[in-house]
Amino acid sequence: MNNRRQFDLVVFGSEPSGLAAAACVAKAGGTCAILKTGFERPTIASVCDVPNFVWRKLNLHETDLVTEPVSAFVSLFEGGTTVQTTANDQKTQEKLSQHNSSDGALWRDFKAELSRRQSGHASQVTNINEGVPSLLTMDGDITETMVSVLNDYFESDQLKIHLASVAGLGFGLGGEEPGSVSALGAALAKTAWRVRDADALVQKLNLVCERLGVENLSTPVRRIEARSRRVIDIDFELGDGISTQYVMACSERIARAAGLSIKNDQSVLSSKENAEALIRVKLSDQPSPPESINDDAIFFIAESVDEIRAAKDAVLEGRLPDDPPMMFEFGEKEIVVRMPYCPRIFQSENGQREWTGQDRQMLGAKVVQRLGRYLNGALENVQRTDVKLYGEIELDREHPLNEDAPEIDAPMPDMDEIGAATSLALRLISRD
Amino acid sequence: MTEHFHVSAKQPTQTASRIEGGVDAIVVGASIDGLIAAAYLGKAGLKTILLEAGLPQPELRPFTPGYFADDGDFLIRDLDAEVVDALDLYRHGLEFVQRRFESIYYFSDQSALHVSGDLFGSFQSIAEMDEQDADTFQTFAEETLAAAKEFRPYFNGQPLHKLSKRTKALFHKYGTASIDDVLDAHFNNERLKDLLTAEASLHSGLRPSDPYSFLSLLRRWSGEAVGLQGGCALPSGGYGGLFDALRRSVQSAGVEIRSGGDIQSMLVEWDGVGGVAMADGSQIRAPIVVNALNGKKVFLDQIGPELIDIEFQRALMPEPPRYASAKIHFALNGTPRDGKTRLNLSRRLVYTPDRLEMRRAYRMARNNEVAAELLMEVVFPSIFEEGWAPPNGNLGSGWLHPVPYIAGPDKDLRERIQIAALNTIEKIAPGAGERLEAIDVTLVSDMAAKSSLLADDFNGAGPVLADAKRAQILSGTSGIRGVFFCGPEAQAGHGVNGAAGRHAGMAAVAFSRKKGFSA
Repeated sequence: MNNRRQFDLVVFGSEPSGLAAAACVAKAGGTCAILKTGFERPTIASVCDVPNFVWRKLNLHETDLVTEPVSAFVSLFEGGTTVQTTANDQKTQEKLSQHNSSDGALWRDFKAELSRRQSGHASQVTNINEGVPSLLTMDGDITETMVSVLNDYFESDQLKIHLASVAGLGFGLGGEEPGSVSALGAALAKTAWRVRDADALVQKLNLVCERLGVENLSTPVRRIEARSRRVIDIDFELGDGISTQYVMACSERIARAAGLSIKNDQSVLSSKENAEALIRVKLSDQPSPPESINDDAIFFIAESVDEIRAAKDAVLEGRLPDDPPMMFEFGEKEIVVRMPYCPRIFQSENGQREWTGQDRQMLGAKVVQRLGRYLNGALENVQRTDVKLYGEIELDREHPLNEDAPEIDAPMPDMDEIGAATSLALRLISRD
Repeated sequence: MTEHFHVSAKQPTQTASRIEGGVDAIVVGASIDGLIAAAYLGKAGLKTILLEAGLPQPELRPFTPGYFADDGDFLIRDLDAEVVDALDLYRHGLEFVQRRFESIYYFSDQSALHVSGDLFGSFQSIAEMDEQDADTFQTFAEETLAAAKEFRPYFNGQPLHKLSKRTKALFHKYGTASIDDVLDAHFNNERLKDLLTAEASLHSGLRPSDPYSFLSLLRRWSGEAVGLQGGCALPSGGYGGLFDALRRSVQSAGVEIRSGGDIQSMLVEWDGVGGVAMADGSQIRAPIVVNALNGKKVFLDQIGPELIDIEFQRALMPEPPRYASAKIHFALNGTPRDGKTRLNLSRRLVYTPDRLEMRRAYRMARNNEVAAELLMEVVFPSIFEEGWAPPNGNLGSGWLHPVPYIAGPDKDLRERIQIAALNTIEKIAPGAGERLEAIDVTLVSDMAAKSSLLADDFNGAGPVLADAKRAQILSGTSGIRGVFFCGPEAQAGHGVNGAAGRHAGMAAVAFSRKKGFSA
């Protein structure tokens, strides 16, 4: 097979982040291919926003793409109280001050402290060669936990739960892992804000990719092999193959699902033990959110910080949490729920066991029941509940790829998925 | 000695407001680190007074008739070699009855693995268990041990010196990693993973799945017992034996040791220390005060927060740990008196739960519960020490991990840990439960009550990076000239170490030589 097609970069995963990364590389003059893996999240509900630098590189304003930010992150509590934060710090401060004046007053300080820590975290990630001293002499305590920082700043328990939900559910963390404070920073950063209408975004990105000549492949991969230090061969099931200089995945999750191992996958924010459930609750009528809240928000349910911790503990022990914390959005006659605290595999005294249809059903029922308690009456007309899992382990399945496959690059877990993947892709290409 | 020095607790003071001068340095707190600092000062020719300040001398405690518990940290894993050398501890009676413990790991599936005391020599036994992993283990262990050695000075309070390229690479790869991830990336054999998880978890407040927990193993392997990296040793006379050697070294350095004497406050004049004021109203004046007591108490109560550097203050208030280890002593009656049993009991026995059990145990400890069986490390001092157990019995001493961290006394917790201890001992030696005469459990709160320190002193259980950083800040400058600190917070990691005392002592000597112009 000497007539393999040559690429500079191959990106696993056709999620928005993969598309944007590939497009930016193509725009910079590289040849690029995207490999669809089949493990991509469906483009329903919200997605991460396109960061400014990507927007400008790709001239997205020419595509008449309009992104519509979600209006708020809202936590619902039993008894009907809510806590919400928005992209606008001034508004958030006002809202928080209505509940607790000191918490409101501290909001900006808190955000400033987080972004200060975040820049420290970023330099730790990027200064690969100086990694050792920067990790050890880092200003500020990089091993601090999310929970301790929240306790330092705020009085209101519900605000703490809300923030722990936003950060914890975003990364599948329990909040007491050392270093988990950077999840707060990543989840509350400006670039982490999410936008509605994922479909439109993906469409436009696909269009841009097409125009820039990015190859879109969806044939299953049989093996990956490093032919030399500079050349990696990718063989397809159907017999043909391609060669590339660099391989990356658009996210750690996709890389793991596709059976690839990642270079330097030691981010504090990656939660390798978690699978994530996407639960679509289909209704016969359009559901409506609790009073006085827009339906274009992202909603969170967790009654306590302990509940989030317990959910993570359950994942570590290979079982379903008793009270699953969850986040959800309203869709077209449906509610889309994400529950990131699912075990990848069930553990018991008798050994390991895969997810079964029964487990999915049970999780679906649990979620619907819990949701019903917070959305009074909205869930009486459930037609169907679809549960899909991302990241579970299938015991019988052979390792999907060859054992000697080279380690590939993947962006560190981040809420700003597009930004993270794109900067990684550009960094790889500019190494020459 | 001069007439200045007839004030001591044994000779009650006649006047309540005596002021004592002519002293170069005062060391407060006769802990291991306090003794070391005092010895360094004395050896440098400074007129030094060591105030015991409520820290009792270690003694053996009979917990059931005929059996004696050693309440100190008797297993030596990381005794600062420079201290041993500089203070001539061997000449002052330090002796080891077991220099390198061999270990037997008992797994939850009732299999066991015998590993030599030297990690470098343990590949053989691991190869018997799993050939493929043995090769990987050899490379892994060599790399990690080499890196750990380079990091030792950092863990012991020195700034980072030049690191080799290899160590940098290793650290960059695994600096933030969890022990679970690192082990999964290297090994296939579950028991080997259980074993290494156990080694990394003892005395650690991080769960094996937590980020940064790999560094706990690096810390553990950075230690050195009698020249053997990663090993552990038992001093003759236990903790008390080590303590006595240090005490003799302090005495021979010409330091005056005073028992009793409650400190009222530290005297601060302008930006420097002037001495200490005692509870009875008397004062001892000196330009140098080295403090080995609880830092929070010293700096926030005896000096006052308004005088202390802000970063220093923050370092004094770490979060209380979430997990603790409980120390156990048990009396085992009627052990066979043959050579084989004796040999077996001269080793370090470790009950190694599997990783799922460990995860459950950590979760339970966090929720103030105690798992049915726990990670246990135990040795039998009575094999080496005459008279610590009756002729027909043996004394087992060790630790259980993890248990809930509860600062106050808790009778119920003690009983639950006793049950867990019994279960775990049964796992190692089925049927031994019937011959157990007593199980003594020492909790964090017990140690605190005994030594008049606060319970928080016994943490050493945060992420290693945070601990090392805190230690480094606290052994530096507090904002008050002449004050040096080597209390429990100035040490990163568990066990007797002594580097903090050495740093404080040497810094104080340098300060005095420069006539106080810089610390």
